[in-house]
Amino acid sequence: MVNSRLYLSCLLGLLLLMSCEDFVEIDAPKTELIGALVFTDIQTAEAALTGIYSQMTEGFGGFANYKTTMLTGLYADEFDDYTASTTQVEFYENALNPNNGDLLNLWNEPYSYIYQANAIIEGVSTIEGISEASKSQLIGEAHFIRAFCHFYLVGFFGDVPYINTTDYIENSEALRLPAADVYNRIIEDLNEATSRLTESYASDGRVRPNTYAAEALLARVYLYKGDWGGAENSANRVIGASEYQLETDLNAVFLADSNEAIWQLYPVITGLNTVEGFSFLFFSAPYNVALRPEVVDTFETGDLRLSSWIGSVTSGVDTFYYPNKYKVFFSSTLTEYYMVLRLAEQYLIRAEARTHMNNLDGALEDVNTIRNRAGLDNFSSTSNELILEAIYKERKQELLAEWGHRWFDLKRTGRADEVLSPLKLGWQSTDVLFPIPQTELLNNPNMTQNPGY
Amino acid sequence: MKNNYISQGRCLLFFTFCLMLTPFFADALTSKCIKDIHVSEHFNVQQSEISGIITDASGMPLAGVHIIVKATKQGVISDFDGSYTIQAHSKDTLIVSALGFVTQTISINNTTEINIQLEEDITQLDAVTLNAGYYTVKANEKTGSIARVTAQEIETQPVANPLSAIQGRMSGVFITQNTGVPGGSFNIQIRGRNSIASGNDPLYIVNGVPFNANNASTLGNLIVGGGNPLSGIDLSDVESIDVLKDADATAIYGSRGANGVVLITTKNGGVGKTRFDVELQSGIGKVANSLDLLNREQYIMMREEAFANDGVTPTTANARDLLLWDTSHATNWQDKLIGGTANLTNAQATVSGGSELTSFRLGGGIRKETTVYPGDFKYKKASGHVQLNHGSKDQRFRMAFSGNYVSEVNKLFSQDLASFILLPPIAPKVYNDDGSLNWGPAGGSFNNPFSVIEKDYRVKTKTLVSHANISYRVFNGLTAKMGMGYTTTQTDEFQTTPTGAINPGLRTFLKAASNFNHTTVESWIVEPQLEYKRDLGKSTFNILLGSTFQQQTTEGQSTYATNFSSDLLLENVGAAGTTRSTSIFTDYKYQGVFGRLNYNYDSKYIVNITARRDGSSRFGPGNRFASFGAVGAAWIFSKESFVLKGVPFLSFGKLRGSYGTTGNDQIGDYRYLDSYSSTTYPYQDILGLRPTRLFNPLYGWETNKKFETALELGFFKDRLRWSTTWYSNRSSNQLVGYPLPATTGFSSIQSNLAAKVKNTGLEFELHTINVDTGGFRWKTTANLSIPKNELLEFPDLESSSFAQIYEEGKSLSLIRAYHATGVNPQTGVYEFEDTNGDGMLNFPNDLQSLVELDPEFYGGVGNTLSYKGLQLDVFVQFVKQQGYNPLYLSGSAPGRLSNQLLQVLNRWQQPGDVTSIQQFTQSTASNASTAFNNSLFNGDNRFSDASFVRLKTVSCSYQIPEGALGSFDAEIYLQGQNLLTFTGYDGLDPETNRSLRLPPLRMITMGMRLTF
Repeated sequence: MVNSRLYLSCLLGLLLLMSCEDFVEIDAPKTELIGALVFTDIQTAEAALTGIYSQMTEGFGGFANYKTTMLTGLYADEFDDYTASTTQVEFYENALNPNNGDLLNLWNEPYSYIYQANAIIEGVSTIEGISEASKSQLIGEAHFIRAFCHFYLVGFFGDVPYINTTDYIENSEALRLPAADVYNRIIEDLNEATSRLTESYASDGRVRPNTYAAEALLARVYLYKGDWGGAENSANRVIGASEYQLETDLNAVFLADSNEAIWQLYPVITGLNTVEGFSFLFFSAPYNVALRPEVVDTFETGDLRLSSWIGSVTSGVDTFYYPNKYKVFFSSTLTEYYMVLRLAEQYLIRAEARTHMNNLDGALEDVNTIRNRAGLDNFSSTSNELILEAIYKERKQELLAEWGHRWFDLKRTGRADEVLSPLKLGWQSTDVLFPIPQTELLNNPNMTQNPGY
Repeated sequence: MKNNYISQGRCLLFFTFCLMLTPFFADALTSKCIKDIHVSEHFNVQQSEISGIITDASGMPLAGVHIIVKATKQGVISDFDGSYTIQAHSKDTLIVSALGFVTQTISINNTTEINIQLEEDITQLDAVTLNAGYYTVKANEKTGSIARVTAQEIETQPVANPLSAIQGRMSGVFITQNTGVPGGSFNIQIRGRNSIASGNDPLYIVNGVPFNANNASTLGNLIVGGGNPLSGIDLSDVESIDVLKDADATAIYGSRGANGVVLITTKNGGVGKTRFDVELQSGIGKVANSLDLLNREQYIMMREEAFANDGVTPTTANARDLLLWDTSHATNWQDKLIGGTANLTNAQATVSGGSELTSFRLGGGIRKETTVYPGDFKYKKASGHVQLNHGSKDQRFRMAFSGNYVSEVNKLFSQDLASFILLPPIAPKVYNDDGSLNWGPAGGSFNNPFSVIEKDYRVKTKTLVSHANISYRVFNGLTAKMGMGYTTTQTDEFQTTPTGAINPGLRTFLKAASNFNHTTVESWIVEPQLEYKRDLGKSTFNILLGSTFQQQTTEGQSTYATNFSSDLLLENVGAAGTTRSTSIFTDYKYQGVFGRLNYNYDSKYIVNITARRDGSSRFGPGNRFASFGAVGAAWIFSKESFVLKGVPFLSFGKLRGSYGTTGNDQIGDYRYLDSYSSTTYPYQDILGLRPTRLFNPLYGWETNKKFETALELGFFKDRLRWSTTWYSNRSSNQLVGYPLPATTGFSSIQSNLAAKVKNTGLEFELHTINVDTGGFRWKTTANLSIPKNELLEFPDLESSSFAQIYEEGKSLSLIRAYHATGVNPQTGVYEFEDTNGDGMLNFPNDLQSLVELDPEFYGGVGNTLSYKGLQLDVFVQFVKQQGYNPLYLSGSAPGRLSNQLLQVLNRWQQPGDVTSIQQFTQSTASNASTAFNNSLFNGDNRFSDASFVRLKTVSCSYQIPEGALGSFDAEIYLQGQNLLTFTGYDGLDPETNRSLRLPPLRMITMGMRLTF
């Protein structure tokens, strides 16, 4: 029995010793890259940056891909809805519910890109052994993306948190910053971007922002802020750059190799060109959205934009219209890129700024540049008010169904109530701001709702 | 990493080596005992042969009865026809025993033929052994909470999933069947929801092997709700399902025991002549209930009234149904989509037998279920199983092997058609005259539900569970064991979208496409153990020590494929012009050391101590290991002499209690790492990266402290058994995906929360034998659970992301809602209480109505009546709970383009009307629409009572008298499932009340079992 006890205790001892802490070590996942490794060399850091552009265009609609154009078009006076889908109808009827899925996306998606941009700004500077120029390009683009996303957030929602760190604890309690301050931060970011980015594009074509893209957005931000001098200066710099010319043929404006393009997004979905071309074009009766007939009526006779940029379909007694800027419904041959910033807008920005600064001749020159390209005669007036009026109308037609220009113009010029209340049954003055998504109110104790919701 | 492999390998090798040496040491130690056996064999030379037949009270032959010669301890086991033959002395005594029967002692008295009729031990509990996982325990002597359902109860139900078979039959176990689609998913909660955000699933162990019950389906969510891997267990091969509930029973599973443990044990081989069992079953199923919906005229009237109310003129844009569709044509969508009859065919065959040393069981079966949907869709399950047991002649070495293999093929389509039953009755016909799908007139297209049928969904699942257990009795009392298991679940699924299923208006762009998903989950486990048992007079010690090494890997690939040259090639990924794939890979390693010490004094006082130290790779370095343990104790006071004398009608009385800790690691793998994964498409030439998680290595185990106390009583020779259990479980250090505002760039981060969740409850179980005379027997079993879930504390709840979701002192199922005060008789619109009196309804300040969705109580009552060979089983399940009001299931306000329940006709029409349904509206901008949305998303009026009493199972079987079919024994039966449901709920089914899903079907089957 002595033997057996000895044996027993040996075996028990062995069993207990077998708690091998090493056993539960596992290798890194094979399908993912650990964050710390992303910012150790320039290739992966660049992949983290282009990943943002790729995400912008990879879905069948997102904040930076068709949805901003479509939803603000419905919300303002550009589109009629034919889907009967509640999320879209709520935009169309200016009756947004804070649970609206599309609305949620307009908030979540830009903030996701902002995080990624911040990660690049913080991470790239720590990479060792690469040139300052390469770093500067990536950091500059990240500043641009951060500014670009905040610009649309402040446009949709008014006061919004300005996020400039990856610290999630800080960001999860972020306070809403007054809109004016948000614009100031955007300007700081864009100044950083213009100084870091070069005149040449880092990409094949104009699908990654250069210094002029930052400058062009800066011109728009100054315009929105009412900083007319700043707007004119920035627009001057872009218009003066030899890279950009207005396309004489309207049908060439939205092509991949457009000379008017300042920044385009490269459509990544295989088999498709732009999602807007695919979503707006229809060949029988409309099933998604169609342009409001009144939009078409306001074009002057002879305006080439009517024939080049607007398509129509007659079904029975009704005629329906659709934006035809992007003409490719789908094709595996890529001929059209998704236009984000283009030269024509810069002329109109400068025209408006010059009007406010009483440089009426300069303003008329700019606005007529755009009119002439559309096959229209010169407009002339000596009244600031009438010239502004003409610029607004020109913006409405030139920038029709592009990135929410119409909606933001109505808002920033204070005409939303006046224009929309006769058209929209349930329009209320508080509708100029979208509601903050409900999940955001749940998850951020410092978040507050916009009035009227 | 290399270092780790070496040390792992070293550990395993060392033990294997020890185990191999065991026989050599043992031989030397026990040679004395072996000599004794030789002596006794020599003594028994003068013997005669005794034979006979053993039957039960009704004369049915009994197989598997142990017949032992008292003097020599030699024994045999009766064959399936009840016969036995044994060598014995003419003056010897036979001891005849069988599970569930009263043991008899019979003197041989010079006879050679002894036929024995055994009397059933009606209480049985003395003999019932419960499976506690690493050990077994007599039901009467258990210190913990273990519930069991055996093959007898399972066989009365025509179901395919183990969870379905135990639904309602165990106290403290709440199971919901999510869909009536074959192969569909289930929810299970054992003693409530412990965890705010990590998994609440129990640990499943099949024949000793942990079984991954997380579904591997990624494409089947809309049709089978993700499916349930447990349907890969062959239910006809299941001997018992034991559920471990309290700390005493679960602590030995340590970190994975927090939500209870479900043990599934398969059947064993027999002894004696080779026996063949064949079962054939077939039946039909239908949706038991239909919704009362608006008909054509009522629908049109609703729409027209809605337009009139809103002051809007119908146009083709906002009223395609009224202006473009054929309003003279009506379709009964319920009937058309889910009104069919499902067929069930089930055939099983088993052969079993063996000698006293070696036994086997080998079998297989096929099961086929069709659906209530139009079209040829079916679920097929083929299973094979093998079980081998062998013991050496001296019974010191034993081995058992079991292998269960199930292949399932579920041929369905992409989306549950029940989700379409609220299509307007005037929606266009599904097919054009030429047989093609109708998409509606130009400008008035509709989402044709039959396009969904064109989109094939097929999932093939192959499940293998194998386990080997080798044990060696080193010397009397000490046994070394080695359990080894391997399981794999392979899921192969695809879903196609052929051209015919695409709206022709979109076909120019939307190409036919397929999605493929292939996932393999593999897991192995090695569990060396030592068991020591020692009797010291009245005291008995049981000691168990062991350790676990487990690894589970999940590998898979999902592929989207399009640009096929022909729709006929959609199932062939190689024929696709364009493909995009994503890969899945996770590795989970797990290691533990466990032990049990059980002390039993005179079967009167019992103490059971279990402990485990666990490590899991799901946590960051430094947070991986934790210890868990429990103490359980029982006092069988009915054995005390004062009780025996004082309360003679009390046949059994036990007071038991337990306290201990368990853990929960049910979060995904690698959560502590921040990571980037590839974007779907390259941006020009560069394939981008996107962040998928934030960095956080600091979180650790979620712990669950369980306390329970129970009183178990038996009266009148155990004809009435009653148990009352009270438990109180607290889980803390909650693992949550802490919701983050989008401003962080993410939706959540993994972390521990200092919140505590308490689950308390009362459980009652009753077993009675109401009548037992003259061959007629009536037994009743009943169980009732009254659970309560409570968020005990939550530091800084007010300033956390959960501020609007939870409240201290309330259940985790809490939903804060606007309190609906009914329809304003003047405006005809739902109104809500403006609690802060600021004149408007604000989110979240006015969400002051608190609704809890936990079941208030639930349980079941079963009755078994038998007379001779005839048996009737009736089982009723009941649940008291709140559910989702079917009025809001469509998600559209009455008046919009969707059918509605008939009760909407009681709507408000003019000022002064007092009613509970607001006016019709079709605009999203109207006040009525806002009020509807407030109800749908935030109102307390979106809930209604969803309690029910369901006649879950009725089974009637008849055992054909022996001899009527020659050498065949046969039983025929008729079974019904979900036959009747009594409920005040207006939807399709109160169990599946969360969305429009196919409810569990009403099934009626008949079948027979043959044995020869």
